[in-house]
Amino acid sequence: MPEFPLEKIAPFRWRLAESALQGMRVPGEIFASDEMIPRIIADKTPQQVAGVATLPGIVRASFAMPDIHWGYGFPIGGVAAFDLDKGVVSPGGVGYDINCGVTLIRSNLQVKEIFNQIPKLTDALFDHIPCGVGSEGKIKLSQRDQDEILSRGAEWVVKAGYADHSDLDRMEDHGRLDDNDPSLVSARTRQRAERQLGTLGSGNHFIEIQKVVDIYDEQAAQAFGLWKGQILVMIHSGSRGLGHQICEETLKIMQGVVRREGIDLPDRQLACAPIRSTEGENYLKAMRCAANFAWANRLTMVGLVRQTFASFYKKPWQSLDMNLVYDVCHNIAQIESHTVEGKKRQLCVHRKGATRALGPGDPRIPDAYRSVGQPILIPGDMGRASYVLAGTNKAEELTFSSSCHGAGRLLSRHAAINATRGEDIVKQLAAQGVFLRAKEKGTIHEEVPQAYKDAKDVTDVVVGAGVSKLVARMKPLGVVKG
Amino acid sequence: MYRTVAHQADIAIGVEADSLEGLFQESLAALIDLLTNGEAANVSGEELETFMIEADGFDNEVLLVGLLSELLFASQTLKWGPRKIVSVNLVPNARVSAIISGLPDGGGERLCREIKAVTYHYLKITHFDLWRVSIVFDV
Repeated sequence: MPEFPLEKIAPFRWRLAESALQGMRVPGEIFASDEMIPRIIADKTPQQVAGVATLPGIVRASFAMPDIHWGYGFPIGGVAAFDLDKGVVSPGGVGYDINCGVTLIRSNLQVKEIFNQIPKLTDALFDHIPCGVGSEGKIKLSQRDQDEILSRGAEWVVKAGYADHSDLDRMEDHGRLDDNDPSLVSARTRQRAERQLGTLGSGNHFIEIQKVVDIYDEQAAQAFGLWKGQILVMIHSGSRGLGHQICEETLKIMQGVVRREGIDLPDRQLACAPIRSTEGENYLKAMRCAANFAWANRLTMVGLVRQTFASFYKKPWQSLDMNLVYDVCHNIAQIESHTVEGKKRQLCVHRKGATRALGPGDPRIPDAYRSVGQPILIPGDMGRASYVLAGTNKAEELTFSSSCHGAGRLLSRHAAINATRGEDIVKQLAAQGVFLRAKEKGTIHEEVPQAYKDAKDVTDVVVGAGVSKLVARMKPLGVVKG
Repeated sequence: MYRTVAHQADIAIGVEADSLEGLFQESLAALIDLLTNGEAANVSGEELETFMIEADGFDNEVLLVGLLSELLFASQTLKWGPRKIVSVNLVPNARVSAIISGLPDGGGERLCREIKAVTYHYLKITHFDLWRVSIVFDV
């Protein structure tokens, strides 16, 4: 018998009873295939799903998406919603990299025309966009710039001339969360961010040149501007040191709040504060500043990608049709309205390694996509496929409008290094038609394809459960890693 | 003394020492080792300077996270290249400081690995025959 028994309640849905861990206030619910379950149990991630279920004011269930894996406090892939009056906000439920997310840029380039240019294009991206340990960009932000970015997010990037106003329509929340307060962002946090706008970072962050290999939903693909054989560029990055510093500082404050409020936690990383408390409200306001910085960071890199392509092809990016498909965030806490037991309620929805997935008709979706649902961008590993999905209305019913965020790790970083010791990963990927440029050798081994689940297995679950629909599949051609 | 412990997405270490102060010292040394991929212990002929880091908190776990986070900030943002722990001064459950020797301004450019944060994940300092703690770093 597993320590945390899971009961199948529907295809791809597994329930973790409230009795699994003392103090659980709601059940857990994990979205997974039959094949994934033994691994999920072996990794003990249901223990973290159960831990989240002990937090005050949690509503309906502690959810986990199929890319679930062991995190700290919250599992990666976790979704949890909290009542605004009785519930808590937890920085650990957002993660250190606040508004880590994915941007997808389309083009009118066809793979058959440019396949031989991929190594040079990848080199050009690698040279033009700072990446790797402690990477710093060319843009040095003044205090005034920082304040504007923290309060206005991606709008600053447009104002500074790195992106186009039309880009904002293709970003979750238009790349800006209001009800923020830059005065809550410490001097140290600002110092960490001073030279980090327009930088990729390290670890699992990447820029990929991809080709569209399959279209599954013609109507949605057409709305998103996707077609078979098309070249796309995907960026995965977040709020860099700024988000980390805000999370770190708040976690310390919330250790004290937990003690003051007498909240019993199974893991100190779940430290939290009542949403209506000064500490809770201050965290949400500072977190929104970090989310705004992350959107500005990704959109600045979009500008740098466009510059690279424009310079390479000696054409303006507009004539390469390098418009945004969409930008999604997958580490965030948002105040949203959801129906619970037939009643509309305002909830604080934490998504840690999960993507908002709005169904057709939702007014928050750009006009051009509203009839087909919000684009959901699912990066795969650097050898296998990534996906574009679309949100469904069933996601509102089942997961507070949430879906998966990526492939999800299968091996620890150490295990990945050990499993590939002595192997020439760059050569192996080249044999598969993937050109890789990475700053750090260690990162290559930590990020090998076999360290991740196949994104196909993950998307099969969210599609099978009805919380997303499949739109397109892409394969990597050129990869830039930090 | 420290050893790495398997963690699916990040880096975890187990540290042990004869004293609580020693545990803080060993934890700092382990972090320097991780940041420099073990190279800090092997360098010689560098003109080292010292710098101080400090943290406060209501319990020893908060102090440990605070002190390690200060070392991360000094090395990754202020670009200090840490080499050795000179001393640790601990007032349990109140405050801690450490003197570190290293390369000033720019020495941190040679760091091999980015460690983004020190987590509280299942963080618990224990004492039986030795003082022990497991620390998970976000990478």
